[in-house]
Amino acid sequence: MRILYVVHQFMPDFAGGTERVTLNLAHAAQADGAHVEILTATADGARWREGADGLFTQVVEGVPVTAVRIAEPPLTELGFFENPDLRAKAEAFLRGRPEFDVAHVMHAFRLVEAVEVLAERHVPYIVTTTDFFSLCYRINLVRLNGELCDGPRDGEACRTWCRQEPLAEDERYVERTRRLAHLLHAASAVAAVSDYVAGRLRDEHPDLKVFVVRNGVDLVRFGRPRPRNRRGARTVGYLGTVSQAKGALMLARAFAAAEAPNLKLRIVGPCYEPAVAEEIRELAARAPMTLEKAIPPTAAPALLARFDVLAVPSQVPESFGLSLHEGFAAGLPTLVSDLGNQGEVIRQTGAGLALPAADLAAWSAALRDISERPEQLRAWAQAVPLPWRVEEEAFLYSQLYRAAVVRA
Amino acid sequence: MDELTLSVLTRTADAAFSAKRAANARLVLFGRPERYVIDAPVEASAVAALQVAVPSGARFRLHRLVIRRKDGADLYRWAGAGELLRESRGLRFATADGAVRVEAVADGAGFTVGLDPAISGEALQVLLTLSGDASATPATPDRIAQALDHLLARLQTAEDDNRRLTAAAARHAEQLEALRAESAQQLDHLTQLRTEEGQRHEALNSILHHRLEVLNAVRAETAALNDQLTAALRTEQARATHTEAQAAALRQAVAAHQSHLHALLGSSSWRLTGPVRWLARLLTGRRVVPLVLPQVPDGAAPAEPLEPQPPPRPPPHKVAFPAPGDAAVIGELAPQPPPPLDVTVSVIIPTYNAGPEFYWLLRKLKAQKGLGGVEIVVVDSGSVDGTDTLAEEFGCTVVRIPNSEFSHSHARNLGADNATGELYLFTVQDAYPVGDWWLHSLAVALTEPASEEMRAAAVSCSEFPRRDSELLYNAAIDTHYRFLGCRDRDRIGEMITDDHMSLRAQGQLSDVACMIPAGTFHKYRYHGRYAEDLMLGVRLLRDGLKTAMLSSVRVVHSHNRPTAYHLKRTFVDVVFLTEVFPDFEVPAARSAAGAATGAALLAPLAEAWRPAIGADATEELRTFSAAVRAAQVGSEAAAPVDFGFAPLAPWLAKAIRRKDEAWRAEAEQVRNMYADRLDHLAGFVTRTYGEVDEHLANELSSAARKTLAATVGAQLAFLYLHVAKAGPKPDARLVEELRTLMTAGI
Repeated sequence: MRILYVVHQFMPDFAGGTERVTLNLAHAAQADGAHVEILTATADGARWREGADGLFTQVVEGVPVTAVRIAEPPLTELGFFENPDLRAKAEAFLRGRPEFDVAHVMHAFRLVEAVEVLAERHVPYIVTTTDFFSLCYRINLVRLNGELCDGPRDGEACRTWCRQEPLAEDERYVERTRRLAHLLHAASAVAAVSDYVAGRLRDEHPDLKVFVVRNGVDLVRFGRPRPRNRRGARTVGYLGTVSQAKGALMLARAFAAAEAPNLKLRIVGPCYEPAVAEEIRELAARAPMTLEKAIPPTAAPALLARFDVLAVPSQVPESFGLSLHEGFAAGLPTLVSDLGNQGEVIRQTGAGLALPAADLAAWSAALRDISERPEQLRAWAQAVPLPWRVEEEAFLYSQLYRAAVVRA
Repeated sequence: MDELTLSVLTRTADAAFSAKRAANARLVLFGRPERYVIDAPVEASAVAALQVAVPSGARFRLHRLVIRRKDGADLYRWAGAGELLRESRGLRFATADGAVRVEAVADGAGFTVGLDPAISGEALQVLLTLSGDASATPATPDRIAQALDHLLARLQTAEDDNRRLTAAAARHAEQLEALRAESAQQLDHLTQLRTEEGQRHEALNSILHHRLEVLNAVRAETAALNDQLTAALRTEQARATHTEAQAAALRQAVAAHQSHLHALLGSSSWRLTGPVRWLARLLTGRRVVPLVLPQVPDGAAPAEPLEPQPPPRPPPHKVAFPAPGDAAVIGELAPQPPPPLDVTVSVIIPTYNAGPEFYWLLRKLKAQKGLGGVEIVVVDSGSVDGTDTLAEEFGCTVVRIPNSEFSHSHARNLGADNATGELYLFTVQDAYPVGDWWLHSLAVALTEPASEEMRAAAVSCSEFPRRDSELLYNAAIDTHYRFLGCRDRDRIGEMITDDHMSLRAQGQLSDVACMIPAGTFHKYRYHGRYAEDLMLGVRLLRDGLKTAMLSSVRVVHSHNRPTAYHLKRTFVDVVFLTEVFPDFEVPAARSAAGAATGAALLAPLAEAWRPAIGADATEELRTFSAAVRAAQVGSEAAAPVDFGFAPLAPWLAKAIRRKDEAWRAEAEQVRNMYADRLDHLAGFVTRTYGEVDEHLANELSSAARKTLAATVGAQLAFLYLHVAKAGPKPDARLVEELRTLMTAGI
């Protein structure tokens, strides 16, 4: 079987969660005897080999990757306008090699035209919705005024709540919504990374069949979770990008306000917002907390093993929450904001507490409560669900590929 | 207004009827005169005025009314209180059992008292026209008679109309019936057409689906066959070259021996020692000849069957559930959770120092859905890493045996003896179920097949490689599953022929995941030290039962074994196959020095080989294979190569010292086998990989080294098999030592 993965960005430019998931799936397909390739986009192509056809190439851990250089303004990347150059390059890419049996669109951002070309060439394709890009040009389902959005409603909500310069025409929002909707409906299968994302898709497209294929965790790297019954201060851990949107600052403020004697806070991850870093450092001067630099993904199991409770205080709805699930692999109960998938999962499992996202007082109270009654952590830990393994995720997709090929 | 009582004039009516002597109808009006008698034509306007004047709820009381048809039958009989109520378009009698309508007719003829059609069911509507105004003027017989004439005339007209209408209605009914019949026919026809169309559609779909499957199967099998044929062709070519070279060598050797013999017979020594030979013959009774016959390899010795050619067989059945390619049957991808099975599955796991991953396996097994129960039986053979206590923490039944007591069959049989479920699932400590419906899917395939043809006595599922699986393992499993016919679809195996190819292809089960009913298992149980799963499947086939190997359900499992393991594992596999399948042929091998020399010749090549970054992986591998094939066997190995298995080196060193004349040919045999194996590996690499990068270069280099270890392991197995069976006693003892070394720990 020949499989093409389509993803908006890839190594060596970026190595985030979606890129790692894509590489894992590609490796699993190779191990299963498939020929795989990846089609992606690059902003400048500086770390790529440029071919005569204007495409950029690379081999990443045995997987051939081809990139299209995207020099268009962001609105085109978001799917608002046609990008004829991208269309031509996608067609050239597909013409230049044997037909693929199936394609897997890991993210359509930047590459909407490429997916449209696949559809026109009748290459069956699977779409994975890793976030809300198909529903929301802002990707996070949060309106310009900060309120949560309950869906585009065929673009009506977008033009009502999120119209902004330079895109003044109402019809643009409707066109984009319908364009992305068409890509979903033309897919052989649509998968969502969580029940939460699947629910939002079904709200907008009640006739769309959406499979839920959760992202897998490399459980083998984690080993058996260590028992957490020691005495002394418990560690509240935060792992991920340190930003306002992810709630790191809110968490730091709540922790400082809690004045919980038996707790310490470790905030670990890259920070691109100097003001946030500055305030956390100031708070760290009067509360037992640290701000630590980013770690490689392979170091996550060891780090998580040192936490007693994980905090995922995101101020926007998360579509999946890889750190949440890696925390589960480490046996960690979790405090989450009551938004998105993380809120849904914790409410369903009882493996922690779901707190109002921006309610600093509620977070402080919860932290104080943990400090005073740490035994509740054990009860939450009992309810920690078993995450999916990366191989399980890969196998479910292999079944979707086979089904798509058979149907095609 | 006071109550207005309608009094119908008995006497005047009788007189009127008497006068008219009407024969076709009688209208008898009973009653007693009251204050108001209506017998004159009333203008519509007067009625309207009356209606306006009479407020809602005004009553006209009728004491008695009988209406008879001309045949004397009472058509309508009413007695007692009734009320004539005002309605919007006239006055209406309301009675307990019906109504008599009194209404103003449009032509101003006056009130019409008629039977409501709902009551009569007849066309007879107008019976009486009361003429006169609303005054108290009594009706006169003439007027009544006149009214009756008018009434009878209208009655006649009504009857005529009724007949006409009845006739018309009958015609219409007939037409309607005809139309209805015609419509029914058309509907039947349309239904039939739709059914036929649906059947054609289904048939076409089925044909298309079938053809697609056949095409896919043909494509997969063609690819496999192509690989096999390519490998076989190369083997045959190599064999031909080898045979030719051997024939030439033999001719040379014969010539040399003849020359030597002539020289010997003609030598002085021979002549001088004649009496000695005569004396010796006299003493021993045997002819004394010098032991100079060389051990020569079998010129036509076949190579190890890398990818055995399966015998012709019918296309394997597909298990209807779960069907390959149909995502809906996987529990996690099904639109609704599959219906549960009321059955308890006992999962039986032999363990020994299972390591940290065992925790995840136990959790996953505990999370399985859709079954009446899941019991886990662990048979631990002396773990020191807490495997057994972890199993107890999870509530497993733990059976402990000494490590020395372990064998693959014994441990599993013991587990089954301690299990209580209706179905047994044999698995291994480093496997991991895919999904939470894994056991359920296997149980459904075993207990609820789509048809009896698909009913298998035992069901296994194929492996889905782990994230860290090595390229060589992936290639091997790809070859293996193509051979078994479960690479891309589910396979039902059955007895076809009794040769080892057919038995292996059809009967293979896998203890990585093998489900079997408890009753069936206890009848057969596991036998033997190795490949107990294969042999269980073969015994089932020989008893006329079937086995299933599923592709649509998988278990996460693969290995990343060290080089030494490939050396030993291949040795064990070859020895086992020859022991259990008498028709399993292996190439001749009698020279330990040949194996050692081949290994020593090729090991440096394999160690040094690394595909160029940026080059095409297949080209690199084929180039390397060609270089291997061209390598010249120079002198005998000086030092043994042990492939990381230290106990082998002293044995090889001892073996090398035992000179024989086959060493060169057998070293070349090792060389050619290795090249064949590399070519075969290139088949997988061609399908899967392209340009080489660091990652792939490492994978390929490792695969090349391990392939050489496996090749040497096979050659040592050939050596063991031939020498142990037919070699001189000292050599036989030596190869038995080899077997002991190579099988330890496998």
